[in-house]
Amino acid sequence: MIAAALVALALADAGLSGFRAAAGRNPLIYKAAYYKGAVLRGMGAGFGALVTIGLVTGAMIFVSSDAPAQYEMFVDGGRRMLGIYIPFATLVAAAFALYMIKSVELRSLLSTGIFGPVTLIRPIVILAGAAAAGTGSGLEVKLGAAVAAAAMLAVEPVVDRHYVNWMARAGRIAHRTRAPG
Amino acid sequence: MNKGSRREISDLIVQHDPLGQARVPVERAAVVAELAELGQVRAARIVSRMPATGGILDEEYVNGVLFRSHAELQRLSEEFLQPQRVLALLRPTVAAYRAHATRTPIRVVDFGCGLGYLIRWLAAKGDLGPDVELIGVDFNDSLVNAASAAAKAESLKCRFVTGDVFALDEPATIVTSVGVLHHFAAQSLESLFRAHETAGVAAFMHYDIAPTWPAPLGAWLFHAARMREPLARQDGVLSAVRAHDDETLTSAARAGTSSYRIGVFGTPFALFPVTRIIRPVVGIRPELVDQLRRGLGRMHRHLNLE
Ligand SMILES: C[S@@+](CC[C@H](N)C(=O)[O-])C[C@H]1O[C@@H](n2cnc3c(N)ncnc32)[C@H](O)[C@@H]1O
Repeated sequence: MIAAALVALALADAGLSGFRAAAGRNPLIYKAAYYKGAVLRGMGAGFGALVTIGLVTGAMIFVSSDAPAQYEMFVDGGRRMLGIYIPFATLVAAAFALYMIKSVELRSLLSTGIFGPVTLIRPIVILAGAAAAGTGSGLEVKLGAAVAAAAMLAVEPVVDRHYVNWMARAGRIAHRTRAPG
Repeated sequence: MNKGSRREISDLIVQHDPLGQARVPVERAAVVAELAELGQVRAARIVSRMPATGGILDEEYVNGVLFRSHAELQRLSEEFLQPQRVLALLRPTVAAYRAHATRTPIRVVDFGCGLGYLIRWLAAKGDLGPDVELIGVDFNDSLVNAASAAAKAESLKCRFVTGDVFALDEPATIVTSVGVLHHFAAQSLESLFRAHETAGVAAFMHYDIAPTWPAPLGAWLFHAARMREPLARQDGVLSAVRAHDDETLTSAARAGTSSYRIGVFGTPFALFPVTRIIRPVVGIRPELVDQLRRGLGRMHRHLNLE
């Protein structure tokens, strides 16, 4: 249950990281497919992060002399992580729900008032979750939490590279084409 | 220091000849010195890091930075539903004009169009009618080329031309702009509006940031979270500081023209005025006003014309 919740949050976060990497780089009008691709790309990178986290924690459980106890310690750490991530995710989800209302004023308010600050503090929240997981636990959980935070923070820069190149190509095409007349 | 005297990087690293036609070489050291003198240390540093050959800023690099910054600006417009905001006023204005005049095509010209997001969006979704021509004007030819290329890529019916908005020979029925007026000093606004009248423009709506108390903070938050180009961040935040207030805009429009009803269009000052972050100064020929008000429906209360 704890692990499933963390995986779900990680994939949602990774999808949004993909979106952010793609946003502001495509000057076309019709971009639904572009953004869908970006969210999937982000989730793909997020899946890679999850595999890494799974391998690291799995290995530590495997080599532990008391595997079930070690497993329980990771679950406890995960629970403390969720204590930080769930309120944050709820705020983001609520903002998205309100964003569905197509009001120009409401959307502007959400953009500057919620999405902007939330994007800015996201790295701090990720680290805070890892710190909470690591507090009062053994070295293994501390290490696992650190790896998890690093892997999730790496998702956006990884996807970003793809869109930097995408945009460089778009820019070259744009500048090669001369305006008619 | 007078906040209005600070300069945006994008206004300095692109220079045109007096006719506003050809780009002229820009000396990096001169730009850096000007920014440093104004106390804009960070802006000076950003420019000092731009590549130059023989002291002259590399034009291709500058074009690339501006392209990336404008793509980020487009995102800002997307998030704030800026084209939808313009359309809410533009559609009834076009209808009012159509009801009174037989002169077609109705030319909607966007001043300082950048990558032409507004015009391309209107071409894609605006549904203004076959008698409406959509044209974007900017004096930066590299942006105009990119706008044309983007329109072509999506087969959109609109066009983009290079030109200086102070001396435009492109006929226009309705003039729009988004985020452009703060680039001009208050003293030169009057001549911009005067040019509208001389050119026989029927209505204009210039959208720009309103200098409300949370605007600089909101702009900072938004740019810090969304923008990657240091230039876009610098200029974006500064634009909220340099923005002209309602009084400056309407009095310049009144001083420069005599045949328009002038005012601003925007929701009344809310408790938290971030919702009024971008509002237009509007001018419209008196004979079109009644029709426009009818077309606006309940929203007409927010159009304060004098
Ligand atoms: C902040 S950008 C806004 C671009 C676009 N309207 C948008 O909303 O994304 C200002 C634009 O005005 C253009 N500009 C500034 N002064 C101009 C002038 N005198 N004539 C034509 N274009 C001008 C610049 O090249 C730039 O593209």
